[in-house]
Amino acid sequence: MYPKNLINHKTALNAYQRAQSSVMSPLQIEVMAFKRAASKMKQAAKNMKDFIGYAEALQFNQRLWTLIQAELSDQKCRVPEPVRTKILNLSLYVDTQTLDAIIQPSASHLSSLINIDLNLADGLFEGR
Amino acid sequence: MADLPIINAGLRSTLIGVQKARQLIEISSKRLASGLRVSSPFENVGAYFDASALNSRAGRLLTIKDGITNGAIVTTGTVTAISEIISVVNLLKAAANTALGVSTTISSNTVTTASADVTDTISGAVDNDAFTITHDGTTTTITNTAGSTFTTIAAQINAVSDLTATVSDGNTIVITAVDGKDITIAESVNNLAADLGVASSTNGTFVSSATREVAETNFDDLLDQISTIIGGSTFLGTNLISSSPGSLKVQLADVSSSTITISGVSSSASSLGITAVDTAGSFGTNAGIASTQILLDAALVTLKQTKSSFETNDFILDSRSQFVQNLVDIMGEGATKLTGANLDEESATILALQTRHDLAVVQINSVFESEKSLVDLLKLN
Repeated sequence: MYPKNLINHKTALNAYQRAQSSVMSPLQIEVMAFKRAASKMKQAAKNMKDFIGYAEALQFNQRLWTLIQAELSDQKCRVPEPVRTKILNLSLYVDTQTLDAIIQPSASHLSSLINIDLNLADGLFEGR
Repeated sequence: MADLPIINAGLRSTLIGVQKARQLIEISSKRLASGLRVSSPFENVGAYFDASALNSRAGRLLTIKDGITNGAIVTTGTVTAISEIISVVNLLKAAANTALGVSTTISSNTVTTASADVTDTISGAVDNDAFTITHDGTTTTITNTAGSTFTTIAAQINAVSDLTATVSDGNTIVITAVDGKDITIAESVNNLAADLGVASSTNGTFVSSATREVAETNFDDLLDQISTIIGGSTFLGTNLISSSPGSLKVQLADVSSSTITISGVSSSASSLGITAVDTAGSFGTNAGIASTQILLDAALVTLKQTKSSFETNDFILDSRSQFVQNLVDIMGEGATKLTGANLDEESATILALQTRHDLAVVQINSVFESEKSLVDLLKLN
């Protein structure tokens, strides 16, 4: 048997991720989130037979964009106009495009979503 | 409500919804914190994120989107599964057709006469008595001419395509249709058929056909695939096509009255009326194959109807503009002039490039006030 502290690797992983998050700047976390979402969708586009994997990638991306939507539509949001409105417009596009992508699964539906995420990640990274 | 100032009547009515929803999410959060299981629409979102870190706007947006997205995932996944079942049924039809095309011999469809010497004239029959044999759409008249015997009558039957007639001393006339199709006997002049002791036969049975037996095995193997497909058609915990199909309730907005329920339709082989053929030897006769084909055609009609009812995703298409409006309402004042829902792919790509440029120039520290919910999302993925 393994020692108890080695078995519970999930807890250890979470602790590691917490530590990782705490040393990453907020901006770095946001860049990572966009890159993670884009990479999940790229993987999904390569394996269209896995519908659930495809849907999960879309849902992860949609949840990320929902958090952004909620954040940017708050009066307290510090992101200046007009970039704020641009991002919110992109968020509504993500919502409708996500529905279309799930109703009619096709790798081509993912390309603009991937493109948007990578552009935002790059913009945030370049502006740091 | 400081984050959602009242600016017009539309927003004011939205605000009432906001207040209701906020009460709801607060109740849900309390239940989650106390470990009580909740059945509100927020449960799913609460399970995903630390509810205390999620502001109510994010919670409401996530709830609406998860509801509709999950509905779309389940119905789209189900449509894919039904398409696979349709492919299997088409393969079943091919297996049945393969069996039908096989040329083979049969021993029945037998017409017998009373025992007699083969060279005897036929007792009770007079010259020019006749009967007809109808087989495969062709009717042939068999006539007792002057001096006819069992042997010459048999020869007349032998002349008919696909029919053979044998006769030997002390035995009966045996008429065989080599293609297994019906032999119909009818009196024509007087009662020659009765004098011969022959009657119609419709029950052809194949003695054996290796090809047909293989087709039966293939058919049953393919049939098993339907249950395999159905077994793998559980999406997000809901199986809409199993023999005890589930149903799916989709919340279209964050008021509890705005829901639709998608009911499942069992699409198992037995529900479709398709049964195994090997043990029953259903492909032993052309009639057996034909009845299987009728069942398969009926099953295809049913499957296409079921598919179309899920495929249209009517609930999403019909509610799409309402869906976007619900999101805009929740987002509040800052979102009232947004046009993003109408962007096409090209415009979205251009907008993304502009946004990248803007972000690089404005040099913000972060988009998020607090990264807690974002970290929650990343931790679970």
